[in-house]
Amino acid sequence: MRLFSRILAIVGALVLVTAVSLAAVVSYYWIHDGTIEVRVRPKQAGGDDVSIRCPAFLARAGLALVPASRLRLGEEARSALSAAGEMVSQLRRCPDATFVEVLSREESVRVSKRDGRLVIEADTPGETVSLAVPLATAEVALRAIRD
Amino acid sequence: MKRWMILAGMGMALAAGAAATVRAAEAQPWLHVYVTESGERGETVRVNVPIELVEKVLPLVRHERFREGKVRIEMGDSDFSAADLRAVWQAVRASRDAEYVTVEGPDEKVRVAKRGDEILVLVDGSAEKAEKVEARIPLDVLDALFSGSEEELDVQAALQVLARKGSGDIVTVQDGDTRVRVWIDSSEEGR
Repeated sequence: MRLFSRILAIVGALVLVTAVSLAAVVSYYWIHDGTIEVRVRPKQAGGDDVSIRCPAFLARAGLALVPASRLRLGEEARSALSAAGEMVSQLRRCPDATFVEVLSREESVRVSKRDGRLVIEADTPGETVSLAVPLATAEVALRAIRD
Repeated sequence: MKRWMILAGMGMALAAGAAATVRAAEAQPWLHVYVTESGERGETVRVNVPIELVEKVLPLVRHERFREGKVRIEMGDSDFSAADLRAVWQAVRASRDAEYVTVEGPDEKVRVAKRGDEILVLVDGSAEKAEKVEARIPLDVLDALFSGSEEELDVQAALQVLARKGSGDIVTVQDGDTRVRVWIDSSEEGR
């Protein structure tokens, strides 16, 4: 019985250490990579209010699982991705700013950088939409798709 | 005492480093394109991009005649070739300040002049056609633009020269209710 208790304690300790390590790794990547956020808010009653917050490292991990054969791209697409990748890399070095703003009496679209994330916000008569993607994740994703 | 001096020295070095970083960030030129329509729709488009970003991305863009930061000139069936265009530019470049092109039509008056180190393009609309265009292009920007091979315009080189020029308006257009302004300054949001 005493031996059984010891084994149980060792197994318990191992499980605890593994769980804590796993939590630490997940927390590190969660904090390091940030989150991808999608928010759709309807302006009329009855519309669907959508809010998605996904740790960015999950997107990276998901991309790593996609078979390379599925990501075979043409020359033009690869060239466009190279340009997009370089743009994201440059944006990471820029200070926070609004890069594009389109305003009209009824609608507005804004593309900006805030706290290391590319933020796209649209305000239409029907709904407001916002999308925030960590630039580091976008850069890694674009490179992964291109290569 | 010695420790305090070391700490003070480190503090000053950090402050100097931070100040240099702030200065470097402030000095970065931004290209701004603002289009404002004061009419019924009241649309406004504002684009603010660091020139360094454009310089880095431009060589990677490949679209039709645009490659590696250069655009290929094609004059089609025209008798006027890219070499002629380059020759005209060289002639204007070497000449004294003057008004080189004046077109006075019923709707608008177009003037192209060389004044100091700039080429001025001015378009003035008539009373019915409220249009006003003013483009100021520095000569060395045009030099850089024509610095490529015979059939190409080197947009990348022109942009690099433009970035070194510092702040200032490049193009302003007033067409009826629409106003377009393209300029460079060191502010992210434009001034």
